[in-house]
Amino acid sequence: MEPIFVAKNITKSFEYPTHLSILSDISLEAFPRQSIAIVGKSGEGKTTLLHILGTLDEATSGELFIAGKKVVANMRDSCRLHHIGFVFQAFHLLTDATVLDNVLLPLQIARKPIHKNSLDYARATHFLEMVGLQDRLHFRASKLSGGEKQRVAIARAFVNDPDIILADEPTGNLDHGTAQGIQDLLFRAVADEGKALIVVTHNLALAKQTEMCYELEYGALHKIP
Amino acid sequence: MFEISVACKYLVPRARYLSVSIISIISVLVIATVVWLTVVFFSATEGLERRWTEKLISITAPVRVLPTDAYYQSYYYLIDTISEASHYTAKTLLEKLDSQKSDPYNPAVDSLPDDFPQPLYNKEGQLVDLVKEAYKASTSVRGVSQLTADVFETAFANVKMQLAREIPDSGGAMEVRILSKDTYLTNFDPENTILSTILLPLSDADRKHLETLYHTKEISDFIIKEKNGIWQLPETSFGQGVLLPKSFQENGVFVGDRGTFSYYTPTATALQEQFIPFVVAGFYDPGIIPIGGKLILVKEGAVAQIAAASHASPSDFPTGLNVRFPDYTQAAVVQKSIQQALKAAHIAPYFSVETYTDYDFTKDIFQQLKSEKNLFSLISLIVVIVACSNIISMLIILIHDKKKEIAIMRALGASKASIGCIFGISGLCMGAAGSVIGALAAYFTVKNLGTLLAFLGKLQGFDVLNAAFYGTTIPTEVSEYALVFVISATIIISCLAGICSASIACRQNTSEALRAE
Repeated sequence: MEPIFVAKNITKSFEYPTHLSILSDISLEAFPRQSIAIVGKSGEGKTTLLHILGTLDEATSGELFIAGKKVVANMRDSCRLHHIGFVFQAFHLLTDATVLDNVLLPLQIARKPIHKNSLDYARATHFLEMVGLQDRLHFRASKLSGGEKQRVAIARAFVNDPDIILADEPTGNLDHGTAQGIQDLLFRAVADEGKALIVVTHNLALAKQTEMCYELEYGALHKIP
Repeated sequence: MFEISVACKYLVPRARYLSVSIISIISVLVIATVVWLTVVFFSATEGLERRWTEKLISITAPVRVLPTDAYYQSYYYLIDTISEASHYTAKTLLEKLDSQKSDPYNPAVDSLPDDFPQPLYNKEGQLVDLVKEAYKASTSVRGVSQLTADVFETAFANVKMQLAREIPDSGGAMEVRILSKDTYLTNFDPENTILSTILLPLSDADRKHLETLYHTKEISDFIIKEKNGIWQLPETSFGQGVLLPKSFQENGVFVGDRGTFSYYTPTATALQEQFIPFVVAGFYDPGIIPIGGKLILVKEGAVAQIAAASHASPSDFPTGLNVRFPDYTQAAVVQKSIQQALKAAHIAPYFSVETYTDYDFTKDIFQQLKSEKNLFSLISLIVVIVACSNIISMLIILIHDKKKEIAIMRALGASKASIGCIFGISGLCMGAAGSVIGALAAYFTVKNLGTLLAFLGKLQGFDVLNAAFYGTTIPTEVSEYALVFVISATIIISCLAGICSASIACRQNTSEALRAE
């Protein structure tokens, strides 16, 4: 089976004010239905790596391949739109918008029809049902609890049918009980939808649930057996 | 469309974003005010300019064909001065036009000086009749309705009037006041279709004066009349009817008053004063042309008679063809067409074709009006730029406010172009909203300008627009030029303001913005 996501020799360094190497020669592969965890201490560059993998940030050197295609500068937006779903620690929802509007947003950006009878609208409501928010469709995102917000974020990450889900500390802002629920939901969704998952966390319990686990230390990625 | 829906969301004022909402409302109102002021100003000035132009054209014409020096030096013009058949006298344009014979030269009785100009012959070997050819060129313009051409002549005469007035409370005793004024006379055109726009109505005082002076209720015999589109000046036993400019009316002259045109003719020993009696048949408003207060409209015979007696050079008293048509905006087209026709007839050097903006006595006014229009257009543009710069301020605050939302949209796959588009649309919408509000306000203001000016006049105690300069009616047409100019300028500048702000939004680092939380 071909990997859906390949990162080759990724490095990231800053030259100003002094030379600082954050990531060095990182290579990673992810297959459909595979879940990978990247753990590490705070400040090791986990979020930077995730943002580079998610084309939100540019690597100093290295290559990314998504769905068999090399990611070049002018296709990064399109890659995020069609191949990547994000789940952030801080949820990053549009607080003024409703739950449904937040989930419809990626579809709108992809210029898909979102009228009530459209398939994409049905898909959005399906995911909101899957995360248990079918009775909160028209609630403002700002009125939701942390756990509910993260459920909305998960539904939003899946709605555009991406190939890979990138999650940055998805349970970092949640209490233990809620975090467990979100964890289960995320893994179930990944399994049901057949997506690859790369999750960055320092929550070992979450890391243990993944198929593969890497540790980021001093800018290098080490596989944890 | 995603960009429009997000832009619309941002544009709706919300209590939560009070500062952005207030700035955006102020920006829209400032733009609306600029649009309103510009459109009202241009509409008013354009309306006044149109009225002045119409008045000017109604006593002259939108286009004139004037003989040049080459004409006066030509064989065609000079041949009459050495021909017995023409009584050794140069002919006026009207005489040339009415003449049966183009070349009065008779070798049997007339002798040509050696340095006499060479005649211009046509293909058939006949002398080209310059005036008839020019007349033909002037009347053969295609695509312009109701076009007519007539010869106009001007002459100089001194007007002497005896104004008989009843002394109040004197039991019918009369006093006579003398009015003397140097004036220009020009032909009255009976077929002038726009004369009605400048004719002043007969006042009650005029009517009463006529009845008193002529002891009759049948005053129609003394005033100008229109019948089947033809204007008629009365012929009375006291002299021919003439139209005086309204400056005479302001000097106390009434319709029915009598006077004489005084001019001099040379005799063997001296200059002898001659008189042509006239009766005032009406007044007209000459508008703002400098000689307007001195220009009297008389029947063509009188002008020719006085001009013929004059010793001045023909070019001192303008003569030519008045080319009239109702839509004066076609003047340039008509000018070009006549010039082409003259060129085709090989007589272009003998005549110049001028539009109403080129006349000696109007050129300065029209240049000044155009200059003012250009100047105010520039000022409006600067004010619009200043007003639209508010949009940049508002959008920059909005971008700062929506930094996180922009980053989220970017993370979800929105391109930089899409984000730029959102703010470009926001700027455009604000400009468009300001333009629409301003244009509507301008429309209602212009349509009610009379009421508004009356109110302002009441506040300041005298008329806002002096009737002597601006007439008695106020323009009520919205200027299309102003609407197109100011709305397109506003929308383009707003869009540019939006794009400037959008470029800032696009440069935002998504990764950093997401982490800033």
